[in-house]
Amino acid sequence: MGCVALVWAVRERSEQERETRKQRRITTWVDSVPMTAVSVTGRCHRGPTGLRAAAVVSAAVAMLVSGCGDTADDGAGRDVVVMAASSLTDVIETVFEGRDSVTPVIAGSSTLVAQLAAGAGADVLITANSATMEQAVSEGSVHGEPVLIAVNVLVLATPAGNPGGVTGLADLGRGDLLTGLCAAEVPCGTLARQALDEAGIAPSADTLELNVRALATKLSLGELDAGLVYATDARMAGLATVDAPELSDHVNGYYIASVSAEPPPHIQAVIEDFTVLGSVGAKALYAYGFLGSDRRPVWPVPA
Amino acid sequence: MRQRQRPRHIQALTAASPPDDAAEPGPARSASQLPAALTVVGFVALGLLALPIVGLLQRTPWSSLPTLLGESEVLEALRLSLVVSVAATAACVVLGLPLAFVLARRRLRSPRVARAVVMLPMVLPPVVAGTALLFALGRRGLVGQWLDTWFGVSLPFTTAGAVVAAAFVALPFFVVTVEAALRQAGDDLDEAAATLGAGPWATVVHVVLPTIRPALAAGAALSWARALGEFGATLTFAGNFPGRTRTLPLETYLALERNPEAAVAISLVLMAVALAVLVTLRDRWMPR
Repeated sequence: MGCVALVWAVRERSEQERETRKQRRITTWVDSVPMTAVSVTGRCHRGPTGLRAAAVVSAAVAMLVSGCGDTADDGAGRDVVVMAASSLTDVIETVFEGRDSVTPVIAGSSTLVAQLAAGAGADVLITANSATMEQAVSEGSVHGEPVLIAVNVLVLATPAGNPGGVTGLADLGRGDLLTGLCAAEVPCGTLARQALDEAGIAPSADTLELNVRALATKLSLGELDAGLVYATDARMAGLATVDAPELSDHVNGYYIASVSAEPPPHIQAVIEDFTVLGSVGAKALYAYGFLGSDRRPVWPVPA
Repeated sequence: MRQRQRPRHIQALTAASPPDDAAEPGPARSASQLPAALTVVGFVALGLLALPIVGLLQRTPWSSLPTLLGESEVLEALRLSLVVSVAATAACVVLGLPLAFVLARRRLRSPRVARAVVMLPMVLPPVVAGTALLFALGRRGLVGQWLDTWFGVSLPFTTAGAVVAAAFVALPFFVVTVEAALRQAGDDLDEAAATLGAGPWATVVHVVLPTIRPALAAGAALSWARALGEFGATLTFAGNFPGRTRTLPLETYLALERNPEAAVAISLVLMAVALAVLVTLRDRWMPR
């Protein structure tokens, strides 16, 4: 009996605590909604009294299913979710280090586009080629106009010291070496295939990695003798590179776009971190070895 | 302590003997004695588990299913998946059975550490497990470099590597299941057999193994199911190449990038195969 009473008392107390905590959360949440965003969220919450209750509900829902769905709450109280291609991992880390208001999601470009199409909640998309961005635009998951922020070139990379004695692109057809490429489904794989096709080389790959980072890691561990990775990844993983003039024409453009057609200022600011000359993102891109957009491929105008 | 252990022990023995356990007080477990809240939450949990599967079924392109599944890549991946998962299960049985015996019957200096080591692959993110395997068995790995120089064997990027990766993550499921059964069965029967003149091998083969047969089947089924669905460790350790290391889960992932409908179709096959095997096993072998 005493035990029951104790449990009850504990429950009462935690109930009280929870109530105060809830109050606090509501106030911070409501306070942090800027004037512009209120009109957007207004669709979800009716009237000032309803607002509070709705805020509680939406906070609870947000904790459960991460977001109140695609009825769009662009409130600044929520983190800005930036989806970025895996080759941008370090750039993204550098740019958003210590910024709690931004949540980066890193994956292969095509995975990101598929997730967006499936209704994943994100605000900004950065892909590692134009094809995936085009797809996102045509599927209607991205409404802002894509902007080219950098380009990356493919290189023929080997582990440090080139233990396999790789001398050129043609060595990717050698059966006695362990070689790797990206899978054709991801941008670095598409690019590699184009380059190899044009050079007339039939690769004898031992693995088709699902992202460029995994390929670079396997090269740096010495598990593979050669592979085609982006210049930036080769640099990050400390790989040696072998001259392959056939690759120089093959570059990928990195595109950024906002998911909503008219992004609120705080999301626009995140995009400008990359698009504006001399911005923190542009600097980071440069620092990690991406090329400037001077080799700018023409952006296909979305229909 | 003793009081709690004893009845469970007896119950285990009766449950392990022929399945028509009339001694089991079946009707006593009627719903009326279960608190309503437990029942409700229990069913909600069941619904949560079933919901994603319903979601999958609802998006399944039933009419184009045969075409999607008839693709040579899918069939190739299916064949490879069956080979890899069965081989991995065999490895789990061959290695896991002795390990379960050691854990259950030997006096170990630090049994907790040993058991934690066995459980580690269960909690390790599979990608990390794959990386760890590379460090150990890769061409430049701790042991792998000697395998390479002495025998010219390199596991990464081979089907054997995929089997190793799957077995690594699946082994704990077999060991934990069998060890629990061995403990529950206790060593009374072993001692009885020994008194009657049976040697250690005869005891294991004719007394212990028949007693824990349901657990053996359950453990094998669990580890097989885990091996069949294995993705991260396979990808990291064995890579991805059609016909060699691209198992169904990897094929599903790639299909998701080029044609989500195909991915749904493959997942459906994966689930159907697993469900069929598990249900069959449950009916035939496992105690209900």
